[in-house]
Amino acid sequence: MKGSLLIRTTRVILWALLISLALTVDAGATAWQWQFSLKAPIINKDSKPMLMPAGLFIDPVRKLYYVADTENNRLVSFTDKGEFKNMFDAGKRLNSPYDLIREKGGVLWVVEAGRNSLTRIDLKSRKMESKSLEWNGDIVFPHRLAEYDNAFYILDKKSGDVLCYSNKLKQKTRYMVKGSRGFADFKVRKDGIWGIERLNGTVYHLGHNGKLINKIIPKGEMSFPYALEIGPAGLIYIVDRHAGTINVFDQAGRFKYRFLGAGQVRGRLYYPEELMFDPWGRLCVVDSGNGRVEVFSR
Amino acid sequence: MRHIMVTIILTFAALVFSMTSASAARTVCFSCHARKNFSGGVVHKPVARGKCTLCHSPHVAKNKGLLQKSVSGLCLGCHDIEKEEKGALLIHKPVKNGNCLACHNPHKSKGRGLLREDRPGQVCYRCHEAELAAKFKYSHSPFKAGNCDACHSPHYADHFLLLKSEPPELCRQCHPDAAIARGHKGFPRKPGKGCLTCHNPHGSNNKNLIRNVLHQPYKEGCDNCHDGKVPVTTDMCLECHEDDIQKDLFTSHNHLVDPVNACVKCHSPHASDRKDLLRGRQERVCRPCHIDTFKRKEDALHPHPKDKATCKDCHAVHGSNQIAMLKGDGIKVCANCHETQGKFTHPVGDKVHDPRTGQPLTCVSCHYPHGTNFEFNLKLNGARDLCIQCHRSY
Repeated sequence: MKGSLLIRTTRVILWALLISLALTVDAGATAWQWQFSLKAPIINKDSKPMLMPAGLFIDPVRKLYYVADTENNRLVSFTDKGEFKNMFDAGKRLNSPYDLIREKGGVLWVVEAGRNSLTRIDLKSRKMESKSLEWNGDIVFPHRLAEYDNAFYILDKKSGDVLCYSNKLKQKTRYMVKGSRGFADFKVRKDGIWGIERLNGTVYHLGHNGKLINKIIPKGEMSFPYALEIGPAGLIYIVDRHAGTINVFDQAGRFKYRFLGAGQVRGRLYYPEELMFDPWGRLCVVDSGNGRVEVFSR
Repeated sequence: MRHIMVTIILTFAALVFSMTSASAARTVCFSCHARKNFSGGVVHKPVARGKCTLCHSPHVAKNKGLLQKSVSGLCLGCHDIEKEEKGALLIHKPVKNGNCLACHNPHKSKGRGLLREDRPGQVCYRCHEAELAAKFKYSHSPFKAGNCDACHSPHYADHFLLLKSEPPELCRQCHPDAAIARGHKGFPRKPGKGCLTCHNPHGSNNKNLIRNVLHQPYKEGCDNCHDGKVPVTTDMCLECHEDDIQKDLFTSHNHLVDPVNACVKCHSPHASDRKDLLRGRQERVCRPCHIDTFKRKEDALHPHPKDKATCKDCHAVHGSNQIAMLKGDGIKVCANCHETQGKFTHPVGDKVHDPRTGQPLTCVSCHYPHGTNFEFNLKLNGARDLCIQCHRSY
């Protein structure tokens, strides 16, 4: 009698362990569901799909996604439902647009990789002005762009530092970590700047004053960490470009789970470039090699 | 008491059996196989003990030479060289392929370690002849003596080129700090890690093994670039190389990847043995940052390219407006070597859209250019799995 009770209790414990293990390992990964892809429509024989999209900006007020369609030298916008809205090529004057933001007043700022410039486009007056940036006399190679608290944050591809300029493009603060390889990507948040180091994927959290708050070494194998995002609950999402996966870590660097993978079919990635949460809690992945932005939600 | 007696008898019997069987093997095998080929110099222990059957089956075997197992299977049974590995980053190709006999003689040898030649260098020449055949006016003494293993590890290593340790630690084993300081008097900086940026560890036509091709500013004097206070940056390189290089950097995908100076990641600012002042062979330059790509290729059953093509053949190494810094789109690059490209039955090109993505269909829609485990470097099995991704009713 005692023996059978012991066996039953052991069985229950084992099942509970198994279920809790399954939940902790896989819950995060299976919870993400594909919602839609942002893709330029093919209407006629002259229509072109997006080619090598590289950057994404989300306008929470107008409820629009803007995508830098790099190889087609144009910007493409979509509604928050994923429907195509518009295309814009500034009269065929854009040269490899890589990233962008839209200011409240209808002014677009575009990183033009082909010109190595930060280009201001006033949509109302239809004026376009390319600005070559410098920092203490050194040439800057703008790569990623963000706006926060009326200032521009620009990732300089050359130095790997995040450079903060006022909205009049006056130098303000340089965010860097001495001895590192520089950042491959960054995000600006209320609690500071989050950057991911090139090649090794180490995540640095710096205060708005530039002081290092935390250094996080993700404990999990990644082949080519390239972009990062900080989730609403503080989890760190890292794109592994070559593996086509999104890897999730907590702020102690502990691996939580991984999802997606390399490929062309829906929900698979080929040469992903950027990762971003939209204001509606959805995770957007700029899937450059597949010419689309994949949008997932829980 | 009875137990002790039984143990002694069994041990004695086993000893007698092993001695007689070894002796029998020796006698029987050597009745056909000339004894002189198995004696003199350094003899492999099983051979010396006449235990031919430890490796060979006397009757039938699946393996060549009537071997009991594959070559590496047999060798690793006794020689636990895998303990050297400990997760090493690099594995010498013959070790990886289990081809121990490329370097070692299984029976006897004149040299240590049962190497096939008297000196390690002569063994290395068997494969690395092209790289090592160069004749120098001045040669590094270990290279001249053929002692490659003074610097290189023959099985596993954590350092590029299978070096035993990273320069300058490796160099310091023979060249003490004081001697290095004496040799670099008046230099703007104390010599650091970069011994190999100026010196060729095998040999050179210049004294002190300074590499043969010198960067013009270095030739003219250190103060052309160095002021002894601030590091030499990418911008300083671009002051001279603006016309030839800057346009490659005004691209969506480029190699501006070092906080101080991206150029010197690949090029030596001082001396090289190549006109383009690269720090070494193309693959050797790319490998440290792209180790996962190299490993994927090396681990693939069907690697691509198979011949001696270099990274530069497909990639624009400074920058391009294509994914992965390719020299063109996924058709143009392939067509450089594959003449049949675009002339076969499956349609490709701008007007043909991949149903999975809506992207123009190119070679890389189906093939993975560094190699896969499927024939023709296909991304999936070409018999069905790959095709049904698009052709659902197939």
